[in-house]
Amino acid sequence: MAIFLVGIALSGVSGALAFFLPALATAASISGQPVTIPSPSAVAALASPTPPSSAGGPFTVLLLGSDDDEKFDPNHVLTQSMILVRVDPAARQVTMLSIPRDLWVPLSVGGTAKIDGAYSYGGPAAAIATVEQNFGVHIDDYIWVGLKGLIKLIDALGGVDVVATNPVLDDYYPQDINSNNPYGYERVAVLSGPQHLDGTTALQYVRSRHGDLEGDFGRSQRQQQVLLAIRAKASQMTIADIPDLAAAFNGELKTSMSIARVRELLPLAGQIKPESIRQIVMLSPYTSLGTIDQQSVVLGNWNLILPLVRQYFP
Amino acid sequence: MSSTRPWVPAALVASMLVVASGTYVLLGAHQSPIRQHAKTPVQVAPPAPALKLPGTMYMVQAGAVYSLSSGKFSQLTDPSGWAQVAVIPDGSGLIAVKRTGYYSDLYHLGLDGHVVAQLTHNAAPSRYSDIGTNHWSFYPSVQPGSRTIFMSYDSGKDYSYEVDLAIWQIPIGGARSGWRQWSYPNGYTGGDVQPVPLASGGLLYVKYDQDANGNKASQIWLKSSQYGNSTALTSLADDCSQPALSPDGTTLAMVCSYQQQRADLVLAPFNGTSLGPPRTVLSQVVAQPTWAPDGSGIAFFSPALADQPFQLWWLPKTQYTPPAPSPSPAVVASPSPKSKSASKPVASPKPAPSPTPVPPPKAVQITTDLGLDATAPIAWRP
Repeated sequence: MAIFLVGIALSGVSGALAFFLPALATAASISGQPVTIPSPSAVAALASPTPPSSAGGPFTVLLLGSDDDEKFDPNHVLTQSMILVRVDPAARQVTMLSIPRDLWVPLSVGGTAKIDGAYSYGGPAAAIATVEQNFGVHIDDYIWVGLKGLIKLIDALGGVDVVATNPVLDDYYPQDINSNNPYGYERVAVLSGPQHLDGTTALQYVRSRHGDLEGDFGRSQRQQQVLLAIRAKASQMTIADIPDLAAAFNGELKTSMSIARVRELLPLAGQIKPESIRQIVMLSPYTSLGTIDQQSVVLGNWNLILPLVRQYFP
Repeated sequence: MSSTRPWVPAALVASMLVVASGTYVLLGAHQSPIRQHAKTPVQVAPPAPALKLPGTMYMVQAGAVYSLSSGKFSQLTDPSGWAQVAVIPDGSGLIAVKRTGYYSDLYHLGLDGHVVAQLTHNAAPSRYSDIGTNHWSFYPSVQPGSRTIFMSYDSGKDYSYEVDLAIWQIPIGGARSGWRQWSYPNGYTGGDVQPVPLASGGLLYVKYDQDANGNKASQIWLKSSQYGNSTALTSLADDCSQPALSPDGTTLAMVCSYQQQRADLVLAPFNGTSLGPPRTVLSQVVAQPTWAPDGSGIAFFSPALADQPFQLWWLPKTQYTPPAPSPSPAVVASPSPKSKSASKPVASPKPAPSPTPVPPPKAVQITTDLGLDATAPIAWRP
């Protein structure tokens, strides 16, 4: 009888393992990515990073999004999107700060350049160190996602609902997803108002910037809208959804978070109310446009940025 | 033991197979409904509440135009890029948008969905290699009593990155030379959309702009004629769009977002030149509010559950019509405690009765498992 019961129990476990095996394999490959932050002495730090967060206390994650199509060496991509996210589990409060990709800063790997180059030169460690040293924050973890990863994630979630703030029209949108010519262009028209976006349309909405009066800043606002929509949808997930979600991430997502950390955070997504999420985009007077070495860049007004960061990322 | 019960190992193996596969299937069955696949309208049983809807409605899902009449959906076109549809007020047909990856065009369709004529030709000539020479046409709306269409069109491109929609008036079946531009958009905002031609000859439309904080928002504008005055009827802070005028022309339904990720249904009295006090009727996510031709209610799109595809909903008139005001508490003369200074009775108000709480309007969900295109206005003919 005992053998019979053990056999039944083992078979149940093996059924569950078969269900979750793809997710476990993917999770093992994308999570817990080691990050070695270079010493601050590598670059003249503009601000002293805040101390690391304590267990269960507020923590800060750097979200990175890259154009990782065929035009680029997969190991040297720019980060088109950089968003600092601070989560305070006790207060159930989230703050999101979009960092302009063209922000002209000293890089942790040396030299001064647009901040989107940090990841290209030194991977997530350089991106984290550059943000930490310029903004004076401590970053606990990072999440990096590629273009196809975002599409797959949103499709795996069954799409997201967004109230598009205005028509997003772009005559020269990169035709680099599943295209024979990654240097080509396509026209994009995402109409305004409430709508259900699939992955491809959501990517167009957050990536297009040519037709926006605020350029990259306008795009940052749209990125935050879609992030919140993803959070809202993810909060409805159950553990049985994880295999499909993991399959979507295969090769298109990297994070320093451990599986245990992700599991710990998942319930939090549903507990944070939309009104407890603060969204910050650093428009003028925090930044201004300029030209350096014949490049269009964004110049930071650090006398205003650092107090802002200290206030919301203490 | 095995010699006495030779079936035990076989039973164990069979049980293990059943439990293992059962566990796998059971876990799969516990996936959340977040990836609910939309059915096509003709796959669903006639929705019972739809039987009460008057006339015929037209809507779009996944590139195909569908009609809903007497509770039954019919598919009118192939799923080949059809994006928006409008009714010709004299009942002679439909005007629909068909879009490809590079351009969109207006078509005149019969009521059964067959193509009568292509009205615009927005594809760039093949000799042009610049894809920016293609054009978009969206949001057709036919002026009552005429054969002209108002639409949003990305005119005036100067080979820069600017692509903004402007409102144009075009004759049905007329030449390109007969097109007239009615509005001039704010640059790099997306432009002007959702024209609603008025019987007076004027036009309501939505104009996008940017406020001092860099936030994009919409306003509903009134233009008296092609070269007439323009007036903003709503503020950038209210961020209202998708205007729909009631059949009697006295009430404007609109969606207001207040520069947030919300979309409330708001009604406001309209006297032909200005709006009265707005009233929020529904605070759920509302898209494309459309009045029934007989004024019996408002149809709209909204997700059945948060963050799910959009379904058809119906708000009967009884739900948004404010109850008749109860008589105001009368000021009557009542004896007051005598005072030394007043020998006559003085008028004092009776204590006002506390107002009876009015239940919030309740909308009826018509469909349950579709994925209707919330960027396509609902077209409705009697």
